[in-house]
Amino acid sequence: MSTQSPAPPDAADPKQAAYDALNDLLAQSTAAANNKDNTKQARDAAFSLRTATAAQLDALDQAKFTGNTVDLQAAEEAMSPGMKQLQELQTQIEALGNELKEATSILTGIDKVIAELGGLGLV
Amino acid sequence: MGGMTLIARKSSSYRLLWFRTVAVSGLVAALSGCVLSPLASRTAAFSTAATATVTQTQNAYQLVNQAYSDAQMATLVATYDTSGFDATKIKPFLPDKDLEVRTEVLAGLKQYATMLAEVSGDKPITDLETQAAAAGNGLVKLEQDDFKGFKIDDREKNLAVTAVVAIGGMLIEHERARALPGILDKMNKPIQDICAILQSDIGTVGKPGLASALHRAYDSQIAAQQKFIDDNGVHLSAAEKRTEIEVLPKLVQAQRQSDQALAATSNSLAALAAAHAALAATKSQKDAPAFKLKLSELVENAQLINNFYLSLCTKK
Repeated sequence: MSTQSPAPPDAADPKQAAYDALNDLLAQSTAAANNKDNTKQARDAAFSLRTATAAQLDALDQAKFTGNTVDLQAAEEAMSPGMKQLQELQTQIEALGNELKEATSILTGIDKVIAELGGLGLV
Repeated sequence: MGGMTLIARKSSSYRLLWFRTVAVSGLVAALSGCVLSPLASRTAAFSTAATATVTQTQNAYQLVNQAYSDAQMATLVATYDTSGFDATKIKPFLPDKDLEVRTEVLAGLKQYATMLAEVSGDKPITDLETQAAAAGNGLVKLEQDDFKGFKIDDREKNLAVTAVVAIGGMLIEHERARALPGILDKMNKPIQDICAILQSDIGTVGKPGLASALHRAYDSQIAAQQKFIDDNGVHLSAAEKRTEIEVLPKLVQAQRQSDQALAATSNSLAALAAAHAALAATKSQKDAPAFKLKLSELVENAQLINNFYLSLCTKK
């Protein structure tokens, strides 16, 4: 289990340079696909390039997401001791409630005894 | 002689009633104000805001998957004539096994928030009040049915019930004060780590992460829609063409709102981490302005995101 803190959310990504280059290509291919001066074939080819570039960028975004999963599992495991303690506290409070329920029964019992003693002239 | 005994009995009963009334009044006065400490109130407030943030993070994953699916659909429609249909290419953007881990972690966060609320909130006290009130009513009934000669008035019954609730409240609060600070300390690092990783999942537009993926999913829908109009415009009626063109600004608007929703979700996760850190740091303080400030930021963010997701749902 990892005890290291995860990288801060704004930490630099080593794939950023490749990511930027792909984004540039995406912008260029989109512009070419929409350029009415281009032939239909050229625009279709540009659209195909755009789709392929977007898929590469998707893969990098997915890699970021899946790469975080192991750290997330470690952090989830680290929650267990605190959760166990919280569960114990909850159980203790519930037990207290039950004990106090018994106490109210005792109160009732005491009053009954007092009432009976009163009836006998002993209090 | 019998008369004397009756007077003595009545006098003794009055003394007993007086003693009990004074004793119970004193106890209630001594214990009043013990119920629901400042820490417990803060913990309950944090839990409510945390549960909202968890729900909104789940919404963010759904939003990304939905936008990606819509982009796949739009691209398929735009390229069907040249590329046909390949069923193996139709996949959710977020892999199931990784999404399952997020779902589990968020469920864990929600459970933590819920348990904190249950343990810290006033439910244990209200349960106790109900139990004590029922016992008090039973007591009165008992006197009326079986011991009519021995009077117990409503005031005394109410005092007894209040005393039981006050004692119970104090004991519950004692248990909370003993255990909660340690739990908050122990949970702080995992909570900070989880929020940081979930924020890292989202990232910002222009860097690898869900925010970029979502933004690009709308770009792809726009590009596919433009291609569809360009390729098929001559076959469409004026009304049909107008309907297709009207989709474009709607997609731009949805993209802007989705970008904002994800950014707000990321901010909300940061605010959640900060609020938990402030909660742990102010555990022994009576008043905690630092925590209140962080909580208000968290609540503000939660409301903001809620409005975004609601508006997106309405437009679907």
